[in-house]
Amino acid sequence: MKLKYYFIVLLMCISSYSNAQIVPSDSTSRVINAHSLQLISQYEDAIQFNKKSNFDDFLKLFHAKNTLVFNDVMPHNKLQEKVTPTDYVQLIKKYYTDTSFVSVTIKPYEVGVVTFEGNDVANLSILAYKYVNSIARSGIYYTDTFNVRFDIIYDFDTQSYEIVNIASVDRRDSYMQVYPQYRGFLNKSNLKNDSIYVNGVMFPVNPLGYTQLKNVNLKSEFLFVPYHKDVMFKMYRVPDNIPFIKNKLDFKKDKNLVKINFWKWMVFVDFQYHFIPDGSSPIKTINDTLGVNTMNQGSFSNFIMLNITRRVSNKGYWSVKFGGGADVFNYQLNLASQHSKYLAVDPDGDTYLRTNKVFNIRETHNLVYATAPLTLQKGFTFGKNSVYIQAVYYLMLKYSSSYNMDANATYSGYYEELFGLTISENGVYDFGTYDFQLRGIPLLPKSMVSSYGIGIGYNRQLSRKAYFDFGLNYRTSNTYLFQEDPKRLSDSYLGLNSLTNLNHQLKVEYVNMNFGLSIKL
Amino acid sequence: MKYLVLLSFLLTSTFVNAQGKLVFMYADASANTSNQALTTKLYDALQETDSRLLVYISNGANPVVSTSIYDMQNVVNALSTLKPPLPNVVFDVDSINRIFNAESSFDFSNLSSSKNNADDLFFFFFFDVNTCRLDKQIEKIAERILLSNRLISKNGLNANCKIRIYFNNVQSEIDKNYIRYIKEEKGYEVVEY
Repeated sequence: MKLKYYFIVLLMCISSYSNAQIVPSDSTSRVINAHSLQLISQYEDAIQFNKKSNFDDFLKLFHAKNTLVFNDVMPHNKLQEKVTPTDYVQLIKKYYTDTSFVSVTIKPYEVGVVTFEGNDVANLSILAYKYVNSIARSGIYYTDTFNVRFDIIYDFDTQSYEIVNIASVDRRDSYMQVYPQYRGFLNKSNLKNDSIYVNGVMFPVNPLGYTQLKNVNLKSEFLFVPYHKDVMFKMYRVPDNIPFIKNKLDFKKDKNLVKINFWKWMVFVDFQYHFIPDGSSPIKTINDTLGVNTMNQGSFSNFIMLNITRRVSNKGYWSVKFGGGADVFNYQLNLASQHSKYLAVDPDGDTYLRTNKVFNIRETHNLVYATAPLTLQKGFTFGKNSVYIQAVYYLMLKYSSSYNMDANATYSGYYEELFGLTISENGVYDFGTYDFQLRGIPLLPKSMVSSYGIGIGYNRQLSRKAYFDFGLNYRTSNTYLFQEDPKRLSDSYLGLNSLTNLNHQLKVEYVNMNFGLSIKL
Repeated sequence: MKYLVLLSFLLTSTFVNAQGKLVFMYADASANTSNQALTTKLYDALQETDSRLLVYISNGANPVVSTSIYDMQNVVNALSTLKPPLPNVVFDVDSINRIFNAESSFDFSNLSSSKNNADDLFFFFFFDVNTCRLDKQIEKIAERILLSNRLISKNGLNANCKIRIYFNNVQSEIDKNYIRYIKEEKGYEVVEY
């Protein structure tokens, strides 16, 4: 038995001190495995990069200059790429200082089967977890665990072990450092040691106020929600809608950092265009006994409003909007004919029964109001889309008003005392037929009118600051637009009065489409 | 007296514990002021074997090696006078693997990955807890031996293997926390001595 003991010791001494040649065989695989594991250990030591000499030690571990290694330099944020060891070192120098904290631990968890290429070369792969904990040059923490595969080659001639490839076993995507903030009107506060939800998954915010997201597709959409649900934020595409911050924070400069503002209040400027289809009318005639037909002729409204929004629940918000603009009501009143009969006295002093027939009446109104809308809106958010209901009060101040009228009129007189003679020919007094084309005649609207409306709509976020809005509104008023001024439509060929003199009970009532653009301030 | 104990142990282990178990023991005695406790624990560990074993006492380029319980007396004798340096990890792992190559008992190539009582393998490591923690001896020695023999894979330790770590000089809270980590995180059996 002692003989065996001495034999083993002798074997070890020979192998260790006489550069015992490893020959290709399965039995020597474990020796190659052990040396390869030692190579991984050397890699672990060299990659700490806390002293410059390590760079040379690092480069010596690789088989060739064009060996490709997994680019796990986290601040560089291109994990899908592979780089040469030299480029890898350059990236490390770019993103870390000599004094940066970098802790790397390699934990092999499986050694593959050694394969032999003739009598010269052996290959094997080692699977390992690579734990990296670091503070980049920017001061931002980067930490991650990589599942990597080291491909190693052993050269029997030179008896050297070298890395020929480092690859990520898992498909890795990008990092995003999220810096969430609460924003008020005048103040802002960060969320140190708080938490946020990103697409429904909770992430702790570190004591410096940010959190590192891993494996994110920067082209996908993210819903950021603070753990304390005072406010909600909409869905964003990163970085299209949220720019990566470049030196926006006074203590950091890192291209992977994204600032997310959780607004308790959001303030927008809204531009609204209200459009009334020509088939409808902005005005409705009440108690109409004449048969007036009303037709829109290009009425519209434009408003600019300050929109103050507060998100109040997971999918809800309230908005208050106020501002100013113009209501432009262009519409036509059409009446086939209107007759009036009354006793009159001609220029010679004779009494007669006068008949005025006005027909083919087309009266076009142009009313312009300076309008101040006040809107209360309740919205429900679904990602980048929202639907809303709203109630609006409009205070309308008359700015200008006039009408045009086209009509034909016939004036006649019935003289009972002259054997019932009816005179309707032109040339006798003011009797006869006349064509009227009146332009720019002043109207008598009330100087101030109130109206109100309700509406539904759809809102979509276009970009980080812009939202598009489309809706339908029903608007009406309970006061008439015109003052009461009873007159006949016409007394003589000298002119025609407005149809509003016959019936002043016209009020705002219509359904309009609105298009809007909101810009977040 | 010592020889009587040894003789009784050998008889016991041979006729009572012959259950087809293979034992590997590795010891770092560099931090020991006396190897008495280590010797005792080595004998305790030998209870697991059926005579097929490899004992490896790290001692720089001159390790103490035994492949038979009948040869343990030489180990005991060597330990009584030994003052080993800190382990040379590369040398030790390489040497152990070369011994494995020379010993047919340690051919694991046909070892089933599923549980098979016939193939019970015991790996016992004797470390000073402080040295082990600072030098990462579990990762650099114990696990490297197992990995290089492909007894650890992504599925964990081979079902037929059992690892027991014997820690010496466990005193401070740091030591106890480390032992807790070894037990809970790595799942290895730990014995303090």
